[in-house]
Amino acid sequence: MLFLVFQIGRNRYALDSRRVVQVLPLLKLKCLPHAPKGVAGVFMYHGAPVPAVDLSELTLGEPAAELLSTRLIVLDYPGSGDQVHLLGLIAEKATEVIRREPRDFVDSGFNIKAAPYLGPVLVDSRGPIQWLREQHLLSQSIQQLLFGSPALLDSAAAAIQELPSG
Amino acid sequence: MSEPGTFAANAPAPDDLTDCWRTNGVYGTRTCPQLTDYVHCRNCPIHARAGLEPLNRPVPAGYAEHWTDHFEKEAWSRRSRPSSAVPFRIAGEWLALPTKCFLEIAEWRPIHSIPHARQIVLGLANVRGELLICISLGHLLGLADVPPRNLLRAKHAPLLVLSWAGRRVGFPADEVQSPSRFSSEQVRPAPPALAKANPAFSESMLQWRQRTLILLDPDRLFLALNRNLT
Repeated sequence: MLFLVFQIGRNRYALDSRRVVQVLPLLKLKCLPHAPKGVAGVFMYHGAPVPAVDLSELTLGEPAAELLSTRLIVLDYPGSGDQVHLLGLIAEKATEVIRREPRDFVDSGFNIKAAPYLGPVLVDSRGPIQWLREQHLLSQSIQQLLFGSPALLDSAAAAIQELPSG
Repeated sequence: MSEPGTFAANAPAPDDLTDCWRTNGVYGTRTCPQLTDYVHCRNCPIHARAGLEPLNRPVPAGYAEHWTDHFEKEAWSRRSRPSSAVPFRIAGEWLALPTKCFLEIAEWRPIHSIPHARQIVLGLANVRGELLICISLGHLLGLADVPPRNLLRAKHAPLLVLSWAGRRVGFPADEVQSPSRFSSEQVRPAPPALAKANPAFSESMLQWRQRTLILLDPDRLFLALNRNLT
């Protein structure tokens, strides 16, 4: 299985690459007013608005550094029922992929209620890599906000279109 | 990487990363104990990590704006992924083959004739030190107005080298264009006359710069080739 590796703070995490649609450079985002912490904004992806979540801000409270190695990962986020939404994840040092088997990851032995997205852990020569379960990443209220109200995204999209170009 | 001992100018190297390949690696004293495992520094994970260091630079001015514009456009929808094909001309006919079956487009080189070869075989050419069978695609497809083989051999035309299903073959074309991307909307079914031709090499036409190309099917093409060459 192929995993996309990135960092949050100084720790490394892995994402199942089958969920990943495309890895983009860090784009300019349109801020969503009154959005909860971690929701970085909305960007237009081939004509459709896609919300973006800053992983560093979501988990550590600090926005990701604006470096070339900070990327915007577009992934299929499972919604209610069969629905799949596109979601952007801003992740630092998203520059590597690794090929590992799921059984190479071992249970970390603890469960943090507030962080149900933390999965099993793999240890390589540079230290641990934790599997990030993307489907548990967003809390119910954020999911509701991002995918439950298309009107909000559409109004943000309209605002993006109205921005003067350049 | 201007002078030894420094990484990218504005990105300080992490403490545990040095340019060891220059000091005790293959570009230095070759005394690194890891060399017994990795043989060359380029196989070593430290070297790979150092290669990623230049990406830890601040985003240049205008970079995010450029890419935001780029991905904003309604390019290819996810349902119709673009394909790529190389258009080329043989005699008066514009044709195309998927880019994935091309090995290279080589310059003209002498094609040496083989006695008693079949009509479609032009001969052998040297491409990167290997002998390559060259054919006349015009003869194989049965196109009209294809010059005889001795003229084809003598004409200074680019040599298109294909590799498909384990077979390499080359053919000269009168003109080649660079690979073009096209969406599934630009592909149309071929007229019944073409699809029913015997042997049928194509089921689709491609709209390309006010021209209509016949998009050849590499599977069928090589099937016919194998039948003709063996």
